[in-house]
Order: sequence, then C-alpha cells, then structure tokens
Amino acid sequence: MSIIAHTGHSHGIDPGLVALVIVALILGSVAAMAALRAWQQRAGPDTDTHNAPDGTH
Amino acid sequence: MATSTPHPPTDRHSRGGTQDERLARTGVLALKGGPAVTGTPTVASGIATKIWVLAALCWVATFAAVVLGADAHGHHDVVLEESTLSWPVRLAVFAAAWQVMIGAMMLPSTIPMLELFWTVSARRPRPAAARTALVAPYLLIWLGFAGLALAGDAAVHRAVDTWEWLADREGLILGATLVLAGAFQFSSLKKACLAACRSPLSMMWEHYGRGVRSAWRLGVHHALFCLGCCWALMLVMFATGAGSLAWMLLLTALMVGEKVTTWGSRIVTPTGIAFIAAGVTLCAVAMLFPQ
Repeated sequence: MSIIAHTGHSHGIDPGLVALVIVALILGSVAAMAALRAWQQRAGPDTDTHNAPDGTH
Repeated sequence: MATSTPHPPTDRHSRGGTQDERLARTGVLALKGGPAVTGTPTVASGIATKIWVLAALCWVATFAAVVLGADAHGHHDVVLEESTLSWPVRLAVFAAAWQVMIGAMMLPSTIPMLELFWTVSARRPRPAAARTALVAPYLLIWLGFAGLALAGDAAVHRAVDTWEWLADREGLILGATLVLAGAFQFSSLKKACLAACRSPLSMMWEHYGRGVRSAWRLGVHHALFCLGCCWALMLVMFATGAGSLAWMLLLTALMVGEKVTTWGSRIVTPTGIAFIAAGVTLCAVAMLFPQ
C-alpha cells in the first residue's frame, strides 16, 4: 500500500506533484510581487530626485 | 561563559569576561568581518566550506540513488510493506537514507551555529570531542523524529487497511499533512523556535560552557529548536517520500531561507498559506473523487 501511489494511480496523477505545483505557484507569485515592489521602491526616489520641478538635483 | 546569561553579548560586555567569552566575541567579530585574532576567520570559513561540500555530496548521493532506482528503499511505504529485505537491514537502509537527506536539506541551515562553535572551540582542549558532542545530538534527534514518523505511518497504514472509507480517500492523508504543516507555520512554537534558530549567538550565549558535556547540552538545545522549527516541513518530506528531489529542493530552500536569510521571517506566512491551499485542494479532490 502506498499512500501517494494509490491515490496517484487511481486518478492518473501524483498528488504529491499536484501539491508541489500549487505550493510553487503561490510562493513564486509572492516572490515575484515582492521583487517587483522592491524594484519599484528602488526606482522611485531616483526619478523624483533627478527630475525636480525647480531644476535642482 | 561557564554561567548562563539571559542576553546575547552587547557593547556593554565588550571588555573583560572569561577567556571563553572573549573567544566567543572574537569569533562573532570574525564572522562579521571585524577585527579578530589571527586564525579565527580561517577556522570559521573552513568549517563552512566543509559543510557545503558535505551537503553537496549528500545531494549527489540522493540524485544517484534516484537515477539508479535505489531511492525506493528510503520510502516509508517500501520500508513498511514492500521491501523484501530483513527488518534490521531495511530499517538500517531507511536510517541511512534519512541521514543523507538530513545532510542535504538541514546542514546548510546549521552553518551559522557551527561556524560560531568551531571558532569558539578552536582554542579549547579537545575541540574535536566537543564538536562531535555538538553535532551528534542533531543527527540523533532527527533520526528519532524519522522513527516516530515511521511508527505513525505504520498506524496510518493499519487505519487505511481496516477502514474502507479512508482507503477510498487516501489523498486525505497527504492533504491533511500539508494542512498541518501549513497551520504550524502560524503557531507561536514555530515563531519561538525560528527566532532561536535565527540567532545562534543568543543560543551560544545561553548554553555554551566548557567541556564535552556542555557541548552536548548545547547540541541538544540546537537540535530541539531546529526540530521545533522544521518538523512539520520534514513531515511533508516524509509523506511525499524520501528521494523526491523536487520536494527536497523546495523544502530545503524554504528552511534555509527561513533560518538564515535576512528576509526569512517574511516567507513564513506565505509558506503556511501555500501549504494549506495545496492540502485543502488534495482533500477536496479526495472527497469529490473517491477511488
């Protein structure tokens, strides 16, 4: 008896693999959003500083 | 540092103290790239390199076992029901496979602690004995966890064999394991153990002492905090089967990330949510589509 193999054989897919894909998708999305936010924060102040309205830096 | 002190060293403590205290501070300074006595950085970086090499060897061994098809002997289902080996041999093979997996997955996250201890113990008498006493509990406690998990799995096998309803919905078992692991990410025990693992200097400051016996006690504390931090994730590893390389990679990245990196505490909640989502999905599939 195999917990994983039994369920996997009955539906043709490995539940462990399904779970892995779900976890990877969620964590990958979170990591991508965090990276995007960090990139935006880093890019934001530079733009403001170098394009000041009165022409100063 | 023979007596326990409740707080890690601060600037107030930066002068005086016993030789052990000075060595500990020196080691910490060395690890942070600050001034240190000659030779200390070499000790710290040397053990880090050795641990990385050892972990890499464990990964190579695991990969080779998967390629050669020998990884099945480390899978709990094979150990409990399908193996043709005698019980002592199959348990020994399972224990060996588990230790290799622990070496691959857990060793990288122990580097800060081991670097610190290697540095501090370098000038103590019998450093090799003290270092062995520090590492041995780590391996023994994780082996004990594997034994408990195997015993629990044997009970699950009996339940599945005798309860037809559960036998038709076996996906519930892996699903429930994932939900349990996800829920544990939100527990106060996880937070406390993770905080301890993330500051090995505090653990050293509280539990370090002279001699092999003190090293053993420190090793037990270190191992128990690590177990408290990672047991649920390793239970998922056990449930998916030793030798599942994709799960090994993911869980190793999560455990090392949580314990070692500066952003580690920020991935605890997303990890819990992801595991609960995966577990609920598996449970729903098992309930909606019984065998």
